[in-house]
Amino acid sequence: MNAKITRRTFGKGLLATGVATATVSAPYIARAADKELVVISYGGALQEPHRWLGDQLEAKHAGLKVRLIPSESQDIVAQIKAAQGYSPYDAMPNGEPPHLIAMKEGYIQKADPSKLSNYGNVFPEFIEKSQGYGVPATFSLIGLAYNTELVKTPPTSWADMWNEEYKDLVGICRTSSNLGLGTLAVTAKIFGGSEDNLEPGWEKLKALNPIAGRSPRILAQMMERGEIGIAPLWNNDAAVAEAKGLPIRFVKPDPGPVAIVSIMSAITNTRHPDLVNEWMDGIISAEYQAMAADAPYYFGVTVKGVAIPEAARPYTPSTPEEVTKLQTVDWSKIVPVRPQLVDQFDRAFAI
Amino acid sequence: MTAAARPANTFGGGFARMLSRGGLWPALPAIVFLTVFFAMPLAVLFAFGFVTIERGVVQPGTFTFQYFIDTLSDDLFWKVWWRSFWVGTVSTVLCLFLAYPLAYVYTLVGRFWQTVILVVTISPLLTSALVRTYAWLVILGGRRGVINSMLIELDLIERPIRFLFSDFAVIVGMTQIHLPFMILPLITVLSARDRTLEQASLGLGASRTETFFRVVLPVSLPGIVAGFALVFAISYTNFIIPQLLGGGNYTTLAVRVYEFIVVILDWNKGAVLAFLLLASCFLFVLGITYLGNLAMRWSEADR
Repeated sequence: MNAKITRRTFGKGLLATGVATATVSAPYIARAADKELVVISYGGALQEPHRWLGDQLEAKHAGLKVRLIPSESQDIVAQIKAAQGYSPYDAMPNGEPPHLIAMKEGYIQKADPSKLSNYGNVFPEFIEKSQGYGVPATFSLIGLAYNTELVKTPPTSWADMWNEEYKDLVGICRTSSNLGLGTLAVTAKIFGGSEDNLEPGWEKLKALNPIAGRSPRILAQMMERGEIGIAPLWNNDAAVAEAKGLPIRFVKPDPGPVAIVSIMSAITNTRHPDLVNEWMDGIISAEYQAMAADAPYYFGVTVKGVAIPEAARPYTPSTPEEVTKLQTVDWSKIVPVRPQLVDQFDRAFAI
Repeated sequence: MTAAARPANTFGGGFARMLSRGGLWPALPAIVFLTVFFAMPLAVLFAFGFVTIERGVVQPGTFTFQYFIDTLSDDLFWKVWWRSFWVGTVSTVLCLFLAYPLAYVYTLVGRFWQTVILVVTISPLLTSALVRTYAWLVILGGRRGVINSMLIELDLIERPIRFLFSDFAVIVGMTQIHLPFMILPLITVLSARDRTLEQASLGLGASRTETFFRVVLPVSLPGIVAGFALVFAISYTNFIIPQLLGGGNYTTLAVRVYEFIVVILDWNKGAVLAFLLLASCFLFVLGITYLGNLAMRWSEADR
């Protein structure tokens, strides 16, 4: 047998390798030819309402695949920035702070109400928060969560975090997250500061000597493991933890929990604008809202005419009095100084 | 004329000639790959430290050293640098002290135990560093962590001891995760050493301890230097371990690079920090190699 490699045999080999590679990758090429809507979503159980909506869309459009990518908004915004505005994603939910950043950077598009049949049902206050970009999907609360194995007396107000009983048990989230920014803002406001003067917030948080979590999810896990006993946390994360049988409970502390709206927006240059509109219209449909408001997610409802489930009462404002107690933050003042606030967190807590 | 008589016209012949003549040709694919996918992106990243970027676009005519000056005059940078250096050095030294005896024992035992040592050393590398770091969260974590739950069960403590989110946790994690990178070069060098030198030392009346320190240790210096440089480089620049085991109250240079580029979206400062991290790492590795060469020159002269 002549095994000598000549230019011709080498060329044939190369061709064969190419054909083999093309054959192996054919399914991927075929799949890419189908329509795929790529939507940024939440991690774990909180993704389920999105998955439900994705399944509805897939059933309606033959060949459509709705792919959910669990990710932090900040990572996605960083990726879009790195790709000079080109994005492989079609839609994403943002809390108010990253929503304002994405608006300013031009990474999300304005909504066209004429293409959204449910847009008229959305509470106008929430539309105002979105500034016409995307649709107000849900709202969540920042309240106090605690581990019942470590905390015997449940907190009732934000000021309780400084109780001697909770010394060395308090956790907070870094100011790189909406949760951390919300915690800083509400602390500043309670102790005589404001969105323009966050110094009282920094001073009080430093006095806590808290343990910091890098993200809300990590902070929730720290509470699950018993590394912290009490922390400002999202109502949804606390609800999912309690539903899993973990000893975690949530309170809406006085003078009131912080409400942050999550806005689902089309990403600029989406390949499927019509499908994204359909997706956003689904998000503000009564059916989706009722599902997201139910156990174990308890997302706040942004459209009229959706009843709040009885089980959601510990996690969402269920009376007019509770609604009026909700704390809001003027994010337009916080977002421009967010880089400095992240840096200041390291200076205050990480050295 | 047969094909065998004119090998110059065949691909195999040309390939053989290229190999026999040496030069950089055999490394060409790797050089091209590294240039396109490593050196060029890195050069672009470093360049971002010298220009102003607005909304992801480099502004023309904005060359500046300001970001470097700002970074180097910030005391937080030096504090964070010191922590990166400190945890990198301590974990590297710990790796050396833990790895050396094991590598030495490897050269004394039979084939079966050698295989066991190799499998135990290499098998952790089959899982990702991320998974191994998460395992340390389970071991060192709060009440439900392996250590704390055992101590609470034995009534030795009431409240869990805080192991996580400290230099201790980061150093323990780094040492365990990077240990194979110290063990493997040491095993290679110690296995290849000339045993007759030890026999000569013992024969000339030196004790086993003297023989170890004056013969075995000097001849294993190439392994120590290689392992030290490798483990220091990956510890000093590590991102995952300080991020997870250090927690939110902990930062290092590598973690700050991530924060600036992904969280704050300030590519200028992120690029400056990335440059300083890589350049300082390069200098440290050069320094380790230089000191190693000095030590080896001494051992060779002594021989």
